[in-house]
Amino acid sequence: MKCEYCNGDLSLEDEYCPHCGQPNKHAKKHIDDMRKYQGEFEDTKRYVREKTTGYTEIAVRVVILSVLIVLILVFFAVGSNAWEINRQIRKSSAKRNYEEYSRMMDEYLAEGDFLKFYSFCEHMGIRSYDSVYEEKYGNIINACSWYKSVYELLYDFAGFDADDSVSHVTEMTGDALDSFYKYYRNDDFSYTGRDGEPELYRKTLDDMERNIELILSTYCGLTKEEAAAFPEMSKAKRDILLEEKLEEKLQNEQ
Amino acid sequence: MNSKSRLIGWVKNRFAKDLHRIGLLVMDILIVILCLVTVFALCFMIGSFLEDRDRGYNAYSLQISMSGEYYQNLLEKSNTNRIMGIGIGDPEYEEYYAVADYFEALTNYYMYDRAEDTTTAEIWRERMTDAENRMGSLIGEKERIMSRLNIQE
Repeated sequence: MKCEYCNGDLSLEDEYCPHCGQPNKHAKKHIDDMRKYQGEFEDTKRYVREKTTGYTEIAVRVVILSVLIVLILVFFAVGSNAWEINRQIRKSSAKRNYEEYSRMMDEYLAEGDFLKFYSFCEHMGIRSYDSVYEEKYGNIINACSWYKSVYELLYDFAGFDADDSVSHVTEMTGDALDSFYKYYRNDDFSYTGRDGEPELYRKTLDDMERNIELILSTYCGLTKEEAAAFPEMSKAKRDILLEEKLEEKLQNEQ
Repeated sequence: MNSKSRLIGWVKNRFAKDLHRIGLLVMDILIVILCLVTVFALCFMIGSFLEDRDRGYNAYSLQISMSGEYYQNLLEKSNTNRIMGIGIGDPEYEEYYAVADYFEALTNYYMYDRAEDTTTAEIWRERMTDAENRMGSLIGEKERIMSRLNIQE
């Protein structure tokens, strides 16, 4: 631009003409405008910084709260399912070690040690419906479970004293025997008939049934004939017979 | 602009910073509380895994079964412990296991002997003798077992 006094060249930033020294009235306005805009810029910048800082403080806290809530939910969910998680771990281990576990289970069955067989399956997390073990051992595991219950209840029965409840002991023992005999007689039709049963399964059940028969006749007051007829009796008849024997035992002790 | 909106605007401007600070304080308090809850939840999770039911049975539990003459229960606990490798070689545990083995062997020997299955009875008689030799200070349980089941020597 040109100086209005001497027509010399000057710029908008020159407050005075460098040639004649006269004031540049356009520069004053420009400088005032620049100061005003600079002030507004600084104010806006400060405002944005304050707002951003405020939102950042809130956002950080919201994120921390969200993470904590998620962690709490995860910990409680995992803790509540700890038993199932452990069982799944044992189940995976049982699947990986099928050869070794199968060999040990066969040894227990060959020795007739059904209680150890049951404890082994329980501890190793082997269930009758586990795919790898189901075909060979599925029904044996179920039968062993009931055999264990019968075994324990029959010895409770044998050691019965006047402090126990006759009806309770009879009912528990009768129920366990009934469940076992269903497997023994193939009442749940797991197989098409006795001929359809695997040899190992049938031998195991026959051995278990013989043990139970001997326990009944040796320790529970039944005659050999009564014990031998037990599998074919109705549940009601078994319960009545057990109750009679228990009453006799109590009377003899008195 | 009506008086209500002007009043709201005035309150916002006047207390904006205070409300912001109060909000931050409330969130900080919540964070502290949730941190404590998180620690509790973590302890709960760890405790649940440690409380796994398959930890076996300690000597006190075995002693309870034996004292109550629940020998079949003692047998189950002993079997579980031995499968898990608990107490193997520990004299205290081994005596309890011997009592459980003696109970099993005696009951089987007696019933197979009565059934005149001499072969099986002999197997159980040998196990009975072996268990009896391992019972140590608990040898007195022999009489209690026999008395419980009315077995005459």
